[in-house]
Amino acid sequence: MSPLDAPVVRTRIARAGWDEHSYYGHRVFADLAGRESVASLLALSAVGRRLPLEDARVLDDIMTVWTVADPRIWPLKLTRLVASYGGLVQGIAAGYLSLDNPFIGVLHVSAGAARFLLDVQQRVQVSSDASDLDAAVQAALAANPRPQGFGVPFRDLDERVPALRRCLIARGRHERTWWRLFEQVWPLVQQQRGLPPNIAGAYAAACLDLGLSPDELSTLALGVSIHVFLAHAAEGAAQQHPVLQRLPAGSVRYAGTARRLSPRARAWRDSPGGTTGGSSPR
Amino acid sequence: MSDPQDAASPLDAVAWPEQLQARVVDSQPTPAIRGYDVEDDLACHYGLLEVLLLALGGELLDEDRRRAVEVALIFAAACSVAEAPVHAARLGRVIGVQHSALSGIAAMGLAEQARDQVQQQAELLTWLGSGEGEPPTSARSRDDDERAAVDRLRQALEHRGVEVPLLRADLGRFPALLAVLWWAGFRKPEQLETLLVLSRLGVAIAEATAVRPLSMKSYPMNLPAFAEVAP
Repeated sequence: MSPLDAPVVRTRIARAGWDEHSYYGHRVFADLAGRESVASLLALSAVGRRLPLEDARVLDDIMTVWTVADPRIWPLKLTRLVASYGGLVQGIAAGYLSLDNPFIGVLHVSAGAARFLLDVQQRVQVSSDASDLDAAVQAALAANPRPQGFGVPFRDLDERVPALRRCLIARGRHERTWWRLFEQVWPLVQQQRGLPPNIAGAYAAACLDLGLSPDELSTLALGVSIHVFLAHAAEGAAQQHPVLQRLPAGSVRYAGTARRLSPRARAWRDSPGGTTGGSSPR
Repeated sequence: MSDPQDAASPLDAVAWPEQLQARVVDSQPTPAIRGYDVEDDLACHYGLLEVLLLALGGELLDEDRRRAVEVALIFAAACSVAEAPVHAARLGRVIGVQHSALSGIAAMGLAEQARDQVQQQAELLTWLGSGEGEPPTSARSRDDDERAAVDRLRQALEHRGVEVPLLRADLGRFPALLAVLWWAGFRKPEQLETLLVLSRLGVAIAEATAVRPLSMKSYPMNLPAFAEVAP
């Protein structure tokens, strides 16, 4: 196949021009500049369509509420470790790789949380009949005993959930379909499984109310986390702290195979004239 | 010649080549590395390290240099979980990242570590290139433990039948390893960094994955301690 016959890759994203560029079908300077925010651009980038600016404000709230950045949080500590040699970009890249995990990684957890809510809703229409919802949640939990969006480590309550709730109330968003369902479902999940709601569940509900699909809100989650990784990569790269580059002696306890002699070393040692060193070439 | 402004964009106005150039691996009709057939030749007559060194350096090494590189890279290989790259990869394992992501974390950390280590030996590399005088202070042994380690390096090389004249100078452990690689013909920082990563990557991944995934409670979260200070 000649290069000219190679398949063409289709993209909806962009093309560079001379005086103007396109981005998801919009003119960057004429249509987007002066009209978009960081959050709305993240949303456009993740889902391929513009959200109304009032919806972008909800994303601002989510991003702010999600700003829990203790350096001991595993992905952030991992970021600092790799950044400790001075590489800010490398720190961010490594930190983001750590999000590719189904337990605490926003990519998977947010999509899973959204799908759980969708599953519950499919099992019953949101109605005033509480018993329908109870049964639906029971059935959904039978199929998925530890749903993402629920479960909080190290504490009884994810403090970010009420914080986001206050923001949604202030914006008049708390009565929307999915948030309302989330608020109805979480006491039932807590009652049936002892799992309180977490920020991934709250995020998923709020984003479903923005019209995002599980895949879209999952992709967007990578964007709304960037600031905390950026903070730690920047500080970590600037500090280049020696203790992160190498932990001090006494920090590591070896629990592996005991010291032993290899068969070749033993054979050499046992050979006539053999010592632990020697000059016989191999 | 048409006016470049007629093109749809600046990227369209440039006469780009139509092909990507390969310089090391020829994949047709059968794979070859630096001209040597992989399946009929290299796989039959050479070891993996020799093939990697061929790829990196361009030519097959003679036996002395091959043994010297092997000894130096074995000395370099033992990266501890106390070191940032392995610690980071271990953290990834602890939180259950996909294995491909864990490999990426380890590789990224090791590449950064190697870059930093080689950069810190810039004076050594200049001295090696000049061939004159004593090694810079930054490259000398700092204590008896280092001198003992370099002695063991010399003995390991001697055991393999190789003498590296550069090791007659008073060099620290890591500078001595770089000196051996330099003697063997690997002199560019990117070659030295690549060799260091190659020597350590498998060991790093092995150490990182030596605990169960999702074993957060076994991880010392406060090591090291962090203290918030006013900005």
